[in-house]
Amino acid sequence: MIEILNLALTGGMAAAAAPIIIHIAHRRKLQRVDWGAMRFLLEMLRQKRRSLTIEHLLLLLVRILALACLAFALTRPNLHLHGGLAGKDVIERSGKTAAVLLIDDGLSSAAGRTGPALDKVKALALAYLDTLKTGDEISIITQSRIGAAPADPIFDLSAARDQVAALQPSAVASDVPALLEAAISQLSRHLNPEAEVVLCSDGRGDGWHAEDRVRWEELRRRLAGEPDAVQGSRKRPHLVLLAPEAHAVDCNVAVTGIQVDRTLIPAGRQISVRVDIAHSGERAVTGALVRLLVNGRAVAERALDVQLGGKAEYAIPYTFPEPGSYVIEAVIEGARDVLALDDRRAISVQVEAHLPVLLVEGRSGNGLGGSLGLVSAALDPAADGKDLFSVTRVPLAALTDELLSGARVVVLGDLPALDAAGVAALEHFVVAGGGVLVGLGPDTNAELVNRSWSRGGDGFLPCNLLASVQPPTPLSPATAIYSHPALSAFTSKAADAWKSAQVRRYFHLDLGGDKAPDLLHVISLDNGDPLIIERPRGLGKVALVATSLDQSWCDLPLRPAFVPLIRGLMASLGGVVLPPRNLLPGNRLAWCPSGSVAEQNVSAEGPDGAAVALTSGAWEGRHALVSEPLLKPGTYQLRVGDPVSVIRYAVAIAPFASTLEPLSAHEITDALHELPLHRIESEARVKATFSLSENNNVELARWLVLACLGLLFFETILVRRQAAGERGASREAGMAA
Amino acid sequence: MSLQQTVQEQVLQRLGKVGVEARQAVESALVGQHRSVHRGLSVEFAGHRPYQPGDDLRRLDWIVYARTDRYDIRLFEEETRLRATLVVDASGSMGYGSGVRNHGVEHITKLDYARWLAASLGFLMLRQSDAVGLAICDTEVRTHLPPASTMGHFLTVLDQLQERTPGGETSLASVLETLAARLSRRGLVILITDGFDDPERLLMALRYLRHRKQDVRIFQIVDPQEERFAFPGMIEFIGLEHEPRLKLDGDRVRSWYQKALAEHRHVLAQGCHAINVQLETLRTDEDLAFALVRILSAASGRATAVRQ
Repeated sequence: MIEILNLALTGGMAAAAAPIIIHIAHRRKLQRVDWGAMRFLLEMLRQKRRSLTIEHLLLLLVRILALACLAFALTRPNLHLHGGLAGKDVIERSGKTAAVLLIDDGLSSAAGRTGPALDKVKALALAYLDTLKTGDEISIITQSRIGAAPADPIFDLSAARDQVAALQPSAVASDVPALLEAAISQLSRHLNPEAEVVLCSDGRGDGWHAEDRVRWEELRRRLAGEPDAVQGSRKRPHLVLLAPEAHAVDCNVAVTGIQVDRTLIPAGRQISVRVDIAHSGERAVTGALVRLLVNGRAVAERALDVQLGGKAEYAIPYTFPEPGSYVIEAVIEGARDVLALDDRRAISVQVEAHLPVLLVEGRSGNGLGGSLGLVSAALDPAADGKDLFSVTRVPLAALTDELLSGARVVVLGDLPALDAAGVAALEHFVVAGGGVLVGLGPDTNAELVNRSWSRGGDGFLPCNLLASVQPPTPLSPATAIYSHPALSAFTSKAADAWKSAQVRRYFHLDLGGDKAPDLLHVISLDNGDPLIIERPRGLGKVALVATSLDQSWCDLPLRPAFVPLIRGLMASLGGVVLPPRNLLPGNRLAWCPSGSVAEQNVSAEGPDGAAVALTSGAWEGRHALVSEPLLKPGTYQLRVGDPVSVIRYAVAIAPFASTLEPLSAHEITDALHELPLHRIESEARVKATFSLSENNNVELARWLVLACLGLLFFETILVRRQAAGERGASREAGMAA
Repeated sequence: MSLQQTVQEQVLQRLGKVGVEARQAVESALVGQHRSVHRGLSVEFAGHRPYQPGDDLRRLDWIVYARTDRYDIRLFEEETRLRATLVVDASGSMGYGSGVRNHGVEHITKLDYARWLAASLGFLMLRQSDAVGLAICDTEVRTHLPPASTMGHFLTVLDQLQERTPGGETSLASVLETLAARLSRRGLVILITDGFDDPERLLMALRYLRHRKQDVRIFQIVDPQEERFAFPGMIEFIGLEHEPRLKLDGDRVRSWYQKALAEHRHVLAQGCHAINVQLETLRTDEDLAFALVRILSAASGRATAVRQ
């Protein structure tokens, strides 16, 4: 069967009709002449009609064929004389190869007792490159550069070898589906007929994500291509896994997590830093330390005590002396395990001096009065502005854009209405990363709220309001998501704190069934109705309290749990630092400049002190300085302005990226199902697997070009023959005259 | 402008300007060949004409000279009454003209040129008291005026020439055969045609004319485009004699056409030469006065050679 590789150029076949069109156009422009000497034309025709017609048709045919051959050659037809060898151990190449080499240089490729596993991967990749020949196309995609702009395939085998030889292990997490997706996209840039997608992996199973069934199903569909396509064509490429046999590691310890116990970190108050350690392998670790570093300075250390294959947690107290940007790093020292890259993990935190909170009241008042008097008291009890929360109370009429721009969190307390400009300003505020807490109450007009604040889920409010209800007996908060940052001050044992509160009236919320999967029920009443819900909107979040934030409908504000709850909500809503400073390897550092800082006064440096180039770009639609993908884990420092203020970013490997479990056959089966895969584990097998037969597949392009040239040569001969005949006739005419 | 005017102004007057030698040549050419056949048998005195250099001094009438001091030549009936029949081909193909301008006339056809030639020759012959007849033909003889030497008759000839329009197919051979049967007395047949007929049949008819004691001169009229065939690209040729239409690439068939034309002319010329028929070719873009001088001078030379 014939496969067309450049389908887009099939339309060029219409060019074959050009001689006919020219011929017809030529005939349409007939000039009519009354002619006397017809007998000579008739005489000439009587003698020459046959040869003239034959010559004319022959010439037309030759020209059509020449153009058709050329146009067909441009479509790169490929004649397959066999049905493919799917599932066999040998891959027969019968034409030029389009090879997409996927090299997993992720974190696990750095593991190894005697050297990184990537060395074996590279040896296999080089052995594969040795099976390619001049004219074969190669694309090399590495896990660490998967986000980079795709490049065209190269034909230079030597350059491809150099590229592979120069690879180093990176800290990015392996993601085999992402590599295969990139390969399928890259195949469209190839033109050669024989397609091979070759995945070079260290044989670890951490990047396969076989549990992601939806993603693999789509991948299988794309890799299987068209059912009637030939196995090995670009519509149905050969899938090859070059992976050395991986064994269970003898010992690896990793810092799998590091976090602080609160979202909003104040200066001068002790916090707890939790460090999670995991061990895998069959050899115990002895004499190792867990050291905690803040901004590169060791502040605490613990002896590492983790069981074989077990986990350990360390809670290390620390007090930040002053506000600013910090990086906390946990490092395991002296472990002597197979993978050093996962022995440290860093987290960037912002220690705040104040969190500006804007309270907008429906009913204004002083002290504990007004719609948000109790909220204000919970956030800033002394009302002296020295607390962590810097509170501004304004009535609805005083809400301005300036006030909004200075706040990180806005609390709306029982507002009867908001004008369109106010709604738009709040939506913009939330989308840009701000937090909003909405409290309802007797003045809340549900119809108005639904129409302008919620708009069926399109507005800033998480959901529509139904009617307000007054249960026969007051309800109490019953269940809560204690892992929510807003409830970080509570534990499940503190559930009693809610039960004492009584909600006399509240709004039923229209949660929209499954239409709002991102809607979070933070606290629910004992009848199951939500009391506090939260939903992300753009880069910010909005929390909705179904009852009042004063005593109108409930006595929650009078309960002791109210203060940590409100402060937790404020910290959760306003403690988000944007653009994010905790990054994964492969992410880009981004910083949005403020008006007062010139971009020339911004510089960045990496963990090794080397400068990191920043270019003008965009982050979430906002102007930003953006770096190239950061591959090395550790602390990156951004120096801004004059005097210099330092913003610290942390690049940490993905959790569980260093599992180092060998890839099992069932993982492959789970992922690929029946899709044929050639798994090769040694360099010798690579060379044996790829046969160099060229007998069964014919790339027709070259033959078509040759045929075109031949036809053009024949056309030249015909034309010259005609011209010679005409010259001869002229000569004879001259002689006769 | 009538045919008579055109010929008088554009040809004959200019022919006079060309020179006395030319006129003498014409007269000599047309007369000389027919002189000696009946000498002595029919010497009926017919009149005088002024002496012209080259005339035989033995024919000078000394009595007239003695009486009047004029040099007059004696003319006799058989010698002077050359009986010339102008045969003009008026078939469809003679109606072809490629847009040539000649003698102040735009877009002349071969038939136009044939009319002028016939009229010019008629005038010249009539001036010498020769009898001039006319036959206009296509597939058959359409008009036939027997030779006469009066001006009135000649005006009729001119009228017939002028009225005739081209049409019908060429069939010169049969026409000449018919005509030969009608010409009982020795004479001169001047055939003005494009010659687009079967050469073998045409030559056979000419042989028959020669057999009937007729001297024959053929003036073949061609349009320059018929020689050049300068038609670029695809052309639809519409025959003037009801031939089928032909769509041809002019560039492609030019050489083949020219070869066929040249072969036709070659066969015709060779055949004419073999039967002692003078064949001259005139192009419609050629000045008729100069063409006549050229042709008749050549004929005069030949006639002189024959006499000598």
